[in-house]
Amino acid sequence: MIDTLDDRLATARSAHAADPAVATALVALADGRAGEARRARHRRIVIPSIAVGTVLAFSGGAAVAALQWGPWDLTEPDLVVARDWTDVTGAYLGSCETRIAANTMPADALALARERLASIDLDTIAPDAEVIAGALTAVGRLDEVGRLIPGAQRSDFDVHHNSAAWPQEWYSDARILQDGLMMAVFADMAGGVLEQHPELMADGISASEETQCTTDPEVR
Amino acid sequence: MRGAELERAIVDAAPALLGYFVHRVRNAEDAADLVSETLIAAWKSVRRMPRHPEQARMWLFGIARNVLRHHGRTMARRDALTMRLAGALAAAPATDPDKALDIRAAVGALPPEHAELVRLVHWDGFTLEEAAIHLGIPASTARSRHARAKQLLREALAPSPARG
Repeated sequence: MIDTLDDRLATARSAHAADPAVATALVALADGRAGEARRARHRRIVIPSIAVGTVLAFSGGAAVAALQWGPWDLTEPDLVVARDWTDVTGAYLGSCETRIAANTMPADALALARERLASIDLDTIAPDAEVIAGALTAVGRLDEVGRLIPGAQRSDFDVHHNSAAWPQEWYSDARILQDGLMMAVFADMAGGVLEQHPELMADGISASEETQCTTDPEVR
Repeated sequence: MRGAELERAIVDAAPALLGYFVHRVRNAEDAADLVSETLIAAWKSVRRMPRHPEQARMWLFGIARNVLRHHGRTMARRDALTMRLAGALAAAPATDPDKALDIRAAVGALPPEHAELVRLVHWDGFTLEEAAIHLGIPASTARSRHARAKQLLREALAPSPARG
């Protein structure tokens, strides 16, 4: 028996996207949004943390942060990310710990953000390559990107740094890799929150972050 | 998928996303707004986009569903691109309007959970299993709900008995 109901339902399916004018306008819209995303990615390279609205809270002086472990300002984190870093040859670069608290979000998004952070599988998240390239550019060492990212070359990245160079003693290789990882973590968390709360897109979402790194394996 | 492939996947999904909203909101401007917001949301979280094409499609429709759920709570972003799409949608001829009108009205009169399942399966190209995942219900529930929805539609669309 032929189910004519299926055929009748099919006739009521919208074919708007097949209309040439609609199709053209839709492609323009999709391309436009993609272009905005590309431009946003480029902006993020220059000032990586600001793009996701992070509120960075560093303890101690800049030089101290790279060399020794200090007291934490963020004492009630929602997520702690600790990682020992090596270069592509396996040589030890340093150890870092980042603490994140999502307490700067609106109340209705806070629980979701905390749930999202708790569920992130850190073993499957790779550091954000663009953040690494951006930081290396800021400290004047983009030529070394292949030492931190397997197979990467300077020419792979369109990176510009327009302000004063970042202090080398603060931005150790380990710190740069940790920042790349945390950007990926923030992006994952923000993506999860914005899916449920698209109304937050206009102002963005933010979280508090504190990172400490050491290049001395005996310090931790 | 690499960046260019992700971008292509999102652009390619735009027609299906447009259809999703056309089937669920009343006017062209709302549909254009919602497509635009969905594309923005997809780009915001593109790093989480699954690599497998079918999973990526399901992911995009999940975003669309959330955007639709929050429709009206956010200030629409009607830039020139969005307005151009809204204008084209409003001017586009409807598909078989005479035939479609009673079907759409019948679907719209179904219980909401039944209507949504019919839209997903018959208008958005989902399998019953995919629709079940999208709605967060067991596949067995989707199958029985779909059968019930079709039964209700047949009853609603049956010719009225001739008056004696």
